[in-house]
Amino acid sequence: MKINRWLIFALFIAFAILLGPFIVILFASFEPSSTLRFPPTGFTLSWFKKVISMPMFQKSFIFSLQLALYSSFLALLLGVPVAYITARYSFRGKRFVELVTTLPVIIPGMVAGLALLKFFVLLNVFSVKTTLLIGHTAIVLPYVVRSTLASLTNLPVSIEEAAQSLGAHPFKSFVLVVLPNIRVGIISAFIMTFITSFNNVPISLFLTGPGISTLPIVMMTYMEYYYNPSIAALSTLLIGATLGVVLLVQKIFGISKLL
Amino acid sequence: MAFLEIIDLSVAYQSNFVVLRNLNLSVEKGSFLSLLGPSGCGKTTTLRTLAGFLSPINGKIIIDGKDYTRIPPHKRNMGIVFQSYALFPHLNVFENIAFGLKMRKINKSEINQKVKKAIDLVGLTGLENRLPSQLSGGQQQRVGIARAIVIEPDVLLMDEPLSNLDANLRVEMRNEIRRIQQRLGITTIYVTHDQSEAVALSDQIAVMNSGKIVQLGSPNQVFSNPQKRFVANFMGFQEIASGVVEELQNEFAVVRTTEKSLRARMTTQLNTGEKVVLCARARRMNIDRRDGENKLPTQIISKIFQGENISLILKMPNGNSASVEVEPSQVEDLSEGDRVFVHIPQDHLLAIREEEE
Repeated sequence: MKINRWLIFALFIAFAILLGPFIVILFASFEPSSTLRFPPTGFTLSWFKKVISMPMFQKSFIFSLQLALYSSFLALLLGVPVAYITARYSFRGKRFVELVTTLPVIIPGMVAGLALLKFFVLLNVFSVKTTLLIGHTAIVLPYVVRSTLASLTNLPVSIEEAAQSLGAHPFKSFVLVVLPNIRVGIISAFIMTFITSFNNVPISLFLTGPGISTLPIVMMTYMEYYYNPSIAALSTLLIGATLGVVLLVQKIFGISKLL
Repeated sequence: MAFLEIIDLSVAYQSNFVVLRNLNLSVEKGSFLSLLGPSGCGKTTTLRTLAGFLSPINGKIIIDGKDYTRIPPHKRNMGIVFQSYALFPHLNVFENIAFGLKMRKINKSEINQKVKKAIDLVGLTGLENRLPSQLSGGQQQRVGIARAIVIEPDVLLMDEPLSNLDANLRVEMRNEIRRIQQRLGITTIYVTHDQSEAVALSDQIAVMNSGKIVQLGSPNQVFSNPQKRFVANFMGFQEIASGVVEELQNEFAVVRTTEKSLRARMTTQLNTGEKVVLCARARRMNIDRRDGENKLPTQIISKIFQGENISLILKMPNGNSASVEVEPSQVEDLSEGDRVFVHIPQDHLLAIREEEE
């Protein structure tokens, strides 16, 4: 069949808007002059050296990494049991649980951020770091619940019954039989939550405090004052790192289809 | 007291939908009992209650003198074979079978030995390292059986284990199951809706309907002497006429139908004046050109060639249709629309009480 040229045109547009900005950023990060421009007028790696050595980026990068890691773990710890309960039991208010765990996806990040600010900062019980951790956990929890739920739905209940009939306590059957079979769902959930938390701006914007800030917030603030290629260089580094992680996970677990 | 006793067992879903009503059943040690019935009759519910996955609202389950009614599944020593096989997808054949032994904290060399023996018994030698997804349906169910028997269960529970297999394999596996069960002497409860499976495998068959056992007996009793209308229908009898008992002669009853009186065998004691249905199997009736004793006038509705024999669909005097299977040579000259007589030998015509409880 001959491909309609309008289809090719649509494909081209889609590629242009998906990849175009990244290509611009990629080239702009090698720009020798001190303004962002495209096409670049030369080639230098000095912006990369600069951003890597800047303490404000170093510090916030480490913090963002920790925050993403901890909130993802916490979300798994809470989300997997929630998913298990909703998948395996019927009870009153099950729909409500499902709705609540989906809310953060529906509610605009700004609204959620403001709500969390009201709740935690004005309450003034937790430190800024704890508040950020709670906020990020709340925002990524739905991804864990959804992804785990999908895996559990595909796993027949009878294999748990088989394990129990063979002498495994329900908890043991969960660990030995359920977990290994929903592993893929959990790993893809982890990647989603990690990236979501690491990239998050609206929640962090409200909850960061003096001296404690995440990388995206620091980048935004920096851009308000300096319009040079260092942000482009940093972006290129982040894209490269993310791609690297995703490719690595894909190579190890072969789960590209789930992301 | 028998080895396995089910006493007054009632099970309900969501506390108002009663599936089993006061079920009583006893099974001797080493015997093979089938729960046979249509879907929704409560047979699987009975099995799941025995396994501990469902809690009864009243009644007791006693095994070897011990009350198991409130004991959780993992503390009951029961092997279960599932319709869907329910193998652990992430474990290979050996690990699947070894699972129950590992839970029992048996030492490694003993596990190896027992698993090897079970693999031998079900004929899977050489496939130890395969994953379930790399096995055929029949092989998967063999793993399922090995996994259930290797723990030396008190009772082996099988939930329609053959219904996901194709027809030829089903017969082969049926023989395998019987061989393994007899070899090991495991008390077995087998759930099925397939009467030929139940007849071929069982020592005892409990025919179930609407949460109750309708008839309990040996395969021969259930197959040849159904005592209830439901059992007769389920075991493949056709109702060819209905009537009233006129006279009793030893084990036979003379039944007056709208057409004429027929002699039929009784499977339960009947009284004169009782309303009965007359039941017969398609293969136990003959076609005749002339009227005579135990014959009914009919008309051939259709004639279907089935290879070894011919199936005639007949219109009975009471308006029902019944099928008769005969040798092709007997009916060569007959065609659709012809009026003939159907002869039912008195031994093969059953008189069964009409009312259904």
